[in-house]
Amino acid sequence: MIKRLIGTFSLLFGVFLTVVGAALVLLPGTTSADPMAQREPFSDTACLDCHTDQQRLEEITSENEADEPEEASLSSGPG
Amino acid sequence: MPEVAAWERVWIDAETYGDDVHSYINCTDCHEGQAVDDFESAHEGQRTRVVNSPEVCGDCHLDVGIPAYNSLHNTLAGYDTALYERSIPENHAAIEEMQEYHCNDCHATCGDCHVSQPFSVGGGLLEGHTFVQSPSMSRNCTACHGSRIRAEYYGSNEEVTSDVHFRARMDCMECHQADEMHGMDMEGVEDRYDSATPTCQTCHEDLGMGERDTEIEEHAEHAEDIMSCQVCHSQPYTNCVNCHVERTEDDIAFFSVEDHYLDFRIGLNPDVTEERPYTYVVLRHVPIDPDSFSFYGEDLLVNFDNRPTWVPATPHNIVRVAPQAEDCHQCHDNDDVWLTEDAVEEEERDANQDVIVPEVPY
Repeated sequence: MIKRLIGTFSLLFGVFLTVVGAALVLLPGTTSADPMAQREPFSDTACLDCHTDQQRLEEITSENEADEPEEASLSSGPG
Repeated sequence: MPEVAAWERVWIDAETYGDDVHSYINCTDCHEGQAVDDFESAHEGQRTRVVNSPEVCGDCHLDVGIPAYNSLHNTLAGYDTALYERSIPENHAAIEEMQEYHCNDCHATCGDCHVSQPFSVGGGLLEGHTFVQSPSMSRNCTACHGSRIRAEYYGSNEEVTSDVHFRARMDCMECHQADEMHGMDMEGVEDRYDSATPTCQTCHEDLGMGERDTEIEEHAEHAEDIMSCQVCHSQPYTNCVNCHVERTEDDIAFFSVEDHYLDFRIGLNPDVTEERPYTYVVLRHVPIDPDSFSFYGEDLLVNFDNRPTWVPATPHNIVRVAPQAEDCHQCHDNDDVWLTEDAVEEEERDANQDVIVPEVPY
């Protein structure tokens, strides 16, 4: 009798855990979503090629700095 | 804040960023512009900072995206509260124009804490575009909160020591945790003290305020609702006077603060709440002046006296025994630490009636 009760309880508990697990997978979460699901595949390689190239960035920024002399701040006092 | 070379401000560290999940997202999704080789064309239409909308980060970070967008860090609603209460609706358009030039760069977006130094201090990627979970104290938090909080906390003000928590190597996030920064459960908050700011008691649980059997005599003598912790434990802090904003003919915005000085003043708490039940709090003079925004119109702050110019403060220069707490007389017999009527400029007395101490408690 006791074994039967334990068996029934184990079966019901197993079913409960399965339902909860399935719900967690199927229902939308509130803390995170799949970041890749709705994204286009990465194709902006032109941006990446330049912005990962330290030498190229140094050249471009030094040219721009030469064109635009740094302005002294006009403000005075604690900001 | 450490100086970052111009190239490094925009350099993506391919090695580390490649392991960041955000590297799967197209650059133009967040920055706009075009993914082409030519420099000019690539940056045409590009935003100077990432598009600020709850969708950009909130698409994936569902829990914090919208609250963070509505948080004080992004809305700066506290400034609206303070300015509009001193003004009238007819003047709001001029005040909004002023804010467009002088305030709005300070909006902190998600990226200003998690990927770059804040835009308002010149930007610059933190770790080669790799997103960081916790902001850097020096390159993010105090980059903006610099003139008061950084100077107080690090002990940069002359003859004022650093905060005891700084010396214990605690960074900002030890107290100001993610939920507060992201504005969780703070919808409609219009003032920083309306939000869930941390309290000393979060860590210091058994202070025994007003309890006879406590080990600290000063705590036994003062019940919890008499005064905020800073009244005894903070040191002199920066106060500013008369800030005016202007623009050059080339539309370059600038400000000038007429004076700033270190002082320490205890006054009445103008907003007694369950969270802040204190009768006395520390007050800091803010640099508002009836003519602060006169460049944008005459008499914009016609209701200047609606709010005090001495406002509750929580100086970040806490020590165990501050000068005013060395003995009873340093506070109780000392007019120099109280905001009495004499300590307030005559033209500001009406505005400060709610915080001026009628008489020094002896």
